[in-house]
Amino acid sequence: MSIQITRAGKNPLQVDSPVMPAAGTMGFGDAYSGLVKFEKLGAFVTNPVTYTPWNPASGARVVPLDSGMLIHTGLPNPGISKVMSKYRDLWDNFAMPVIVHVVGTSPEHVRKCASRIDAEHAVDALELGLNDDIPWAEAEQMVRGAVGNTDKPVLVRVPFTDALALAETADHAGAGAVVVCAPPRGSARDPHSGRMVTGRIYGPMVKAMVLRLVEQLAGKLEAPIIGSGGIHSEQDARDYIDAGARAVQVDTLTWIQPFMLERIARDLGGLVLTRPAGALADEWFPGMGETAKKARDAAKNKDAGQNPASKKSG
Amino acid sequence: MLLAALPDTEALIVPAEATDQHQTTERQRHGRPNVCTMGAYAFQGHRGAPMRETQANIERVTRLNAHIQRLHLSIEDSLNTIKPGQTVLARRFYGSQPEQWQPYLREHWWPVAVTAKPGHPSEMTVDRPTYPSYDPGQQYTLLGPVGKPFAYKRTIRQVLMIAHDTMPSPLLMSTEWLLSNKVNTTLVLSGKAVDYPVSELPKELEVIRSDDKLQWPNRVMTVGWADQVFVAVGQDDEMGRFKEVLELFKALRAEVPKQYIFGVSQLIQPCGVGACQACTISLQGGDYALACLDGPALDLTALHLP
Repeated sequence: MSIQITRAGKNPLQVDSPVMPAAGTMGFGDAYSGLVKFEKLGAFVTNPVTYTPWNPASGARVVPLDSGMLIHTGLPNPGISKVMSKYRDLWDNFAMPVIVHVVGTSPEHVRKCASRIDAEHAVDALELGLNDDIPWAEAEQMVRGAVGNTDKPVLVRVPFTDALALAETADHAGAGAVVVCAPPRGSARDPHSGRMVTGRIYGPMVKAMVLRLVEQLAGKLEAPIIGSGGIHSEQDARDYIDAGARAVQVDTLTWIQPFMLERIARDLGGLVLTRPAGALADEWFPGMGETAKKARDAAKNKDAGQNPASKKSG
Repeated sequence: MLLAALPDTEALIVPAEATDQHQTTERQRHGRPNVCTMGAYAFQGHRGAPMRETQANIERVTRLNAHIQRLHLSIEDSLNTIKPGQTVLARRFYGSQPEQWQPYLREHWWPVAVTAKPGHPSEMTVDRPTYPSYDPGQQYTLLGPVGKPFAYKRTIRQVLMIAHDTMPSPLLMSTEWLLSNKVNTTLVLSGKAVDYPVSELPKELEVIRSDDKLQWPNRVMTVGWADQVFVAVGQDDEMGRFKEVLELFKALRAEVPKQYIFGVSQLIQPCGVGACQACTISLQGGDYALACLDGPALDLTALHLP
């Protein structure tokens, strides 16, 4: 099975399974060796990288929540040059494509990172992470800067805040795919120190919120959508595919149940051998096959015909 | 004595797992000295198992006091190689029942003892707060071993351990090994740690109860004779408390050399493998360490403390 998860271009990104880890959840490639079979994943997305080294956040960084967690690390990393020199050989040996997640710090740094990645044969694509409060114009500038400085596909991860508008901005600016979306931000009190901590929220509850965004964006963008947020089971991942995502990214589930990432990848990669003999794809996994897609497309066309404004209003 | 024959006074005894599991580059980055492995396993050339996911059953639960319960778990034999300082990340195993996501994060368990008798299941003992409750028969999945074993000097004779406003559990697994190797070991219980039931500790272990401000009789002498010190502190402000302890030792000793005083970090570790970077600790000189890979015991003189 081969799936093209970026729009057609010079080097479209093809994957064997539509399942990959989300940025920031699996390190740079050596953290989960021995616990997860990487070759079953569609792609490997690295931890966030910046052009210059970044230091860790100080104070409390993890706050347990009901059925979830809040985390704020400050995205510590040694900078793109050190990351490349340290992990290049490892990535070269990976069977699946490697996507380097670049933090959208400034248009200039994004351009430099894109140029750096363009020269790396071990890297197959760039994922640009846009900040939560980024103005549309700057987002467009960053995406164009990245796309203009590498022939490799540029995926753009939009923030939860303003995801719809920024996804369209990224799409217009030439993003190869739009990752919907970065985890929402929140604040919680650290039970040990009593201090308030602001960071990203992870957990199963995030899925419902992000799935809605994917549904709203499906059909609006030229670039394929990659759904990311709150996936904690095979069915969660299939729900994203059903909603119109071409692929999915699994986030903190890997920390809690490392084997689940591989299980979801096997499931959506067509490696679960429970399909009844003679069954059609959409009988096996309702929603994955052509029947559901055609029904969805037909419903959309019907809606668009009856009420042209309804598509825009979502 | 097992350790006395080794001539190099500055060399350390540290785990085999670090090399296997986390690649040499991590250690090279921090300029660690060449090392040999710790304990009986080490001197037989044993290389510990890499991190894996295993299952455990709770066999017994005993209340140590109103705040602490002790879990006795049967574990898979592959986890026998866990060494003092190393931990596991535990999560309830629901089997065919629907998965539950509360609590969400894996619990960070510090083994107090691991025993392996031929013909019997291996057993691990873990101290936990009385909430949440645990019941015999519950199954857990364990990710581990996490981190590096404690690193002791080859010529070590006296070890001082300090539990300040926290359970001493992170320090306890090593006491039996140290005592069996005729290393004099003293445990200082301070603040909230003074309630820990000493009846559960080895009889050869010297236990000192300190006040909330780390004052105890003959403190200068205790600090003076210690070859190495391991400190666990309350998690409300771990780095601040490490600094407080380091300042105390600087005031009490003429010199606090490198690899002398170690802070045992109990930061929350969501992944335990260095992926999430939630347990990143800043080092002097702008570099940083990860408590889950480079710790949990970190040289306090190397940390960038607030």
